[in-house]
Amino acid sequence: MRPMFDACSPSDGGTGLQRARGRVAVSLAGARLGQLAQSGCGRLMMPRTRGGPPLAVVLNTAGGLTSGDRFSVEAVLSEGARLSLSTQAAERIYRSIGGAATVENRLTIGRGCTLWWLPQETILFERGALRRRLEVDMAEDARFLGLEMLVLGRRAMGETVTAAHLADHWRIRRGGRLVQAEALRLEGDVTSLARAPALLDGARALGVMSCLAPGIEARLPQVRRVLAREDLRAAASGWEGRLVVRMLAPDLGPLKALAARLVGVLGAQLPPVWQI
Amino acid sequence: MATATEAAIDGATLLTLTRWLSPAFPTGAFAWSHGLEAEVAAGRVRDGAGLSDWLAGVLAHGAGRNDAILIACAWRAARSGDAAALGELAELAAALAPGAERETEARAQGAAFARTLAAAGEIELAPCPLPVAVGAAAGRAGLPLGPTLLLHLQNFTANLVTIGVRHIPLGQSEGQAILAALAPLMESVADSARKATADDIGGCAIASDIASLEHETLPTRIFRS
Repeated sequence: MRPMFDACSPSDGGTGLQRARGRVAVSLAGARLGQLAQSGCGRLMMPRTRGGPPLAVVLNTAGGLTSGDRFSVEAVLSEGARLSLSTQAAERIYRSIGGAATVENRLTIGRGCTLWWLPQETILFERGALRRRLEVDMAEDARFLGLEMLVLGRRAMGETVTAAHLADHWRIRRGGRLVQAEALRLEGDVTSLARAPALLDGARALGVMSCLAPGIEARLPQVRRVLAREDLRAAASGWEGRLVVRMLAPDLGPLKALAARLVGVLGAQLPPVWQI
Repeated sequence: MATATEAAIDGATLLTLTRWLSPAFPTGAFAWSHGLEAEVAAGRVRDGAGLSDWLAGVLAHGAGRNDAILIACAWRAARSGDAAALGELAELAAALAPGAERETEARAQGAAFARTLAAAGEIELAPCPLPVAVGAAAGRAGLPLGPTLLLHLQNFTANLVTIGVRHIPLGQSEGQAILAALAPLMESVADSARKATADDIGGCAIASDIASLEHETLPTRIFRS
């Protein structure tokens, strides 16, 4: 294990790879801030906000992730705490020269607590490789709103992605029982996956939003009214205290704009750091 | 490759597997379109080539591959008598559903599969989604994994081809040609699933997932998913 203080400085660690390490951890008990830890290229800022829950903004000072990099975010909420977690900027997954970047995020949401997990988009660049996992452990009566937006290169920059390795997993446990598993796997010839009608159907941006809260499925008609006004392909389902929206878009802009509207419909507020 | 499978399988095994994994086995598969009804209604799947592309995506990057891995994991858990692992797989199989209808599709068919096996005096299974039920039953009965995977994938695909043939519509022989042409893909999906673990589960059949959510609001619905 290399010391944390040089975790962001280029070093080959004997493998020929430059590696960055970053970790942030925050805990809230009611309105009281417990732990706030940051190390390596991880930073956590808690800017003052007016109204709504406290906001914590994650920053990766390495500016992106590539082969062998590791990053993690942990949050623990108890005693009815509320927290909105977001990121300062898009997460960039740069070309891999061997091996994937690893991101492990873990959220524990205690009884009566509310957590909004609203990171900005992930940009997957040509030959990017990422293994990412989000573990959510929530109490039966806790509230969780989660979002993931992925875009394959930036269209405005003329970037295309023909090959990549992405394994992006969510495991959401409520009351100890696994209730939602997301398993996105983009491997190999991304050009044909992006074109295929049952897969990305020509889209370059994709997103999933999931809200788990007692009775949240009652918001389904409102969510569907928002989706009906959209040109992009998105649909929702709601059942057993869950509401899920899945989205495919020609580019990031319309996807992010839709996600922003849905955040409001689901009773949350958009983090002010979001660039739309 | 086909010869090796043939040599390894005896008559009783072949009859049991083809009976369990046939459209005539009462799982109610005919009621579930896996989102295909919504794709046909929207005009996105409107001919044989479109159906074939759509099925290939679902097989290689959607429920085809994921269910095959779940079957393989459930088969191994049943072989080693690991009831806890089967319980976890059942939870995972349901949690992977993209929406309400696909969860019910997997649970209802799994329940019907288990009910039929119990009522026929063959095997008693705890209620679980279809792929876990199929893997667990085949493992408990000592049936070989490879043919179980192949026949499950063909059964799943054939049900969707039948729905396509009736509702696009297509000719019966065109449907069979589509199914025959997908055989090599089913073989490769089955082959890679044999040794896969639950960590290998994943896909990108997002448009078909969205179709299953769109299905919930179709004005006219013949199928339950």
